[in-house]
Amino acid sequence: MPSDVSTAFFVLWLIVAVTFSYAAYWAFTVRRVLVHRLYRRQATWVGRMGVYFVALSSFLTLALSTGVSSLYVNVVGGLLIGSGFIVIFAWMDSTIRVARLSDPLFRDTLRWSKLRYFLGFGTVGGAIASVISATMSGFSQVAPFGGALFLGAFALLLSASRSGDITLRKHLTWTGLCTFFLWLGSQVQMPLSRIQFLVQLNLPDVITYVFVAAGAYSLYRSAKSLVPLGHVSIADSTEPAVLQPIVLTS
Amino acid sequence: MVSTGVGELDQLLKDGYPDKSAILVVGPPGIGKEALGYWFTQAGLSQGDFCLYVTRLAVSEVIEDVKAFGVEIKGPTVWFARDGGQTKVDINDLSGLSFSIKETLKKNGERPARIVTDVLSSLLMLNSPETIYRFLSQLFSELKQYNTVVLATLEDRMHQPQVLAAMEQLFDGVVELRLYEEGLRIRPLLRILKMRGMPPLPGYFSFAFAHRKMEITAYAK
Repeated sequence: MPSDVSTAFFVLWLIVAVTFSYAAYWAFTVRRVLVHRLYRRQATWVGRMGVYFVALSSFLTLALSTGVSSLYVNVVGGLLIGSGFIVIFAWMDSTIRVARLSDPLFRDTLRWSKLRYFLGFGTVGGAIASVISATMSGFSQVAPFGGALFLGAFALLLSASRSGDITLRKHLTWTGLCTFFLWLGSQVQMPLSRIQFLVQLNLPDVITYVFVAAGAYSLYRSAKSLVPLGHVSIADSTEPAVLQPIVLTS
Repeated sequence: MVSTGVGELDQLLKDGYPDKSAILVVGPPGIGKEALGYWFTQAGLSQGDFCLYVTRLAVSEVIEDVKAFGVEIKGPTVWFARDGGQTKVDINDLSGLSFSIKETLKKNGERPARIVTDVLSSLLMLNSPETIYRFLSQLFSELKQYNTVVLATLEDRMHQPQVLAAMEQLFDGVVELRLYEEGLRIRPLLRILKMRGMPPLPGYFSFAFAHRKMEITAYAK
């Protein structure tokens, strides 16, 4: 019989996976109706972030709860964490570039147009290092994305404050919050694991998942705020003139 | 009437935009409202109209976007742009911008002119709405002497609703492109909020960009 803690752990994972999946669904739905390549790319990366975190959280939940630590599992874990560096970087890069486009003064937040190349190399380096590290000493020893997420959260929240676009400001704020909660989630487990009382109750994992769940919810809100969405008023949509099919040829 | 460059839209508007008018296209970023400007320019060039494109972007960025829609802008277009145009756009200098536009139109002579611009949202973010309202009122009344149709795009939800309402009042025609949530789907819909010389056109129309053109169909929920 599963303990109460493992049941709570499973329920939290389920909430996280479903919320990330729902966020990805909305991001890809928004992507389908956008035509500008930069905005489409941004929606694509929000969607990929959702899919990525479903995969990562599922893998971590399965691998950590079963305690399997073979070479194969470590390589898969390393590849998942490594690809996360790339996905998170591409997601933040596309978001900051869209924010610049909507800034009437075209301000280059944190000199991102140059910094992105430096961080890009750092990201690829981090991805390779995490794969090697996971293979050599186990995927659970790799602390994923710490600096990148923190810097990303800072850049996104700063871009939000600079953007004159109300919609984008909302989107960037949710994206920044998502990044911040994921950063918190990636950082709290280690210090909490040192507190014996919490470890006995298996709470470090649960607390980590609560932060990841908050990140998942923020990503869902971020996906829904990619574009302003209205609701068709029934009075307008059922006007007889509209219901009559009109023959339109180009 | 002046052709919009989109067959279906011409039919909806009974042959196009009114002569000597100012048209506002409102929509969220990325929905494709700039494409209406591209087709409008393309149609103007193909019939020998004078075309002026005023953009806050660089010419190369606009051209890249134009190509992405499969639009071919053949013919001489005068560009006011951040970079790469005949005149550099400084969105902080309203009187300079107004002067340059009028001087360019004077040189053009009697030929019908079309002006397409995407600077309105930036102008509204950098200046007070009252300043922009006065600036546009004066500019539009002067441009009407030159047989000009102006098509401006404005970002939806980038400005306060009262600012948007004031802008809509200023223009002769307003075309709205918006995304609507319908259960788990999103529908891009078009509405003609107003058009000079036309009775109000109620209801929504679905639109899509496909095969290098904009397709508009009747919509019922």
